[in-house]
Amino acid sequence: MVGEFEYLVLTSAARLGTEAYGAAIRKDIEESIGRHCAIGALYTTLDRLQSKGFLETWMGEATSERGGRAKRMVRVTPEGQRAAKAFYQAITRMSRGVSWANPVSLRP
Amino acid sequence: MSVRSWLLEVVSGLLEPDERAAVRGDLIELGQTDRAALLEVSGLVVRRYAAAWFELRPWIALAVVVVPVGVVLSIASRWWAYGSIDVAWLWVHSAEWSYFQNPGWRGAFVSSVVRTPLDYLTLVCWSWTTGFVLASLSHRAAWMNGGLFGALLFLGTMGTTTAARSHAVHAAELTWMLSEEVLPAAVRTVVVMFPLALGVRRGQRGTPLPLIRTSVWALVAPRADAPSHRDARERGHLWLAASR
Repeated sequence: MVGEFEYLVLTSAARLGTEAYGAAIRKDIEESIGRHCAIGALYTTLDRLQSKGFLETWMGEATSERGGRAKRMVRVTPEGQRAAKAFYQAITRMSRGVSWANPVSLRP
Repeated sequence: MSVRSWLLEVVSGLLEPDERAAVRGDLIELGQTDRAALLEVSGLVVRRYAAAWFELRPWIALAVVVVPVGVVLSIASRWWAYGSIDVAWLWVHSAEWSYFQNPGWRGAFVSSVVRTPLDYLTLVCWSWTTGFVLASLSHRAAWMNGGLFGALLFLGTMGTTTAARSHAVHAAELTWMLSEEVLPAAVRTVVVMFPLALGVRRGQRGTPLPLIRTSVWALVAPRADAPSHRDARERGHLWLAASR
């Protein structure tokens, strides 16, 4: 089972597809959840997910907008997809019957 | 280059080359200021170096290399620094040109001139090897272990004295600060910590040492200092004879 932040990183990387790399994932997470995402937390999580076999990473090409520095590209593996799906299903099942999970109750 | 930019370069240098490129590129792309980038990179560096201590190898390096070798080199460096003072004092204050007509004195002089540097060469070899082993045992924890080694080196003999040595007599003639504090600190910095840092850097490269050169050093270095201990007794007798 992955953790909350690991799930966010896996989901963001899956959504971004071939454009998934450090800065893009961080921007996506910050826009989605409205919280600051530290680069240290992101890169250590990428390493952890990679060591678990849930992600593959490789160095992309250097671009001028990044000061000639390469991107660390990210791709979610089939194992990573299964782990993220398991987390999502667990959260969904766990949330049944609670007031905040009912869309009607969230209306003002 | 501003201080923050310089600090950012220094702190980023503690990351692996690929990670450094990716992180710095990300921060440029995200439009971070130098201050924000410095905080972000520092956070990552702290996480990386702290994570290294969750493994067993840095602890092995600490227990097997840092503590025992740090204490031994702390004692040896001070001992040999004081030995240098003895030799310097002997030749500066006791020797006269007429003594050099005596073959025994000439031999003792040449012996001192040659063997004191050999003492320091031995310290250099031990220290470089210690740094190399630290980096080989734990790449990321090597600098932190090196810092702990430095603390042991400089503080390991604190509160102890060498009053039983003849050095105490010489120390009265030199200034207390020079003989008791400055020279040992200089020896520890130049002959121990500097080679240790070079050894760590070489070990972190991760490439094997050249076989022939390493074999030659491994054979020569342990023998460099061997005659010195025999000679120390002779020097002591010589000093006693000169002071009568």
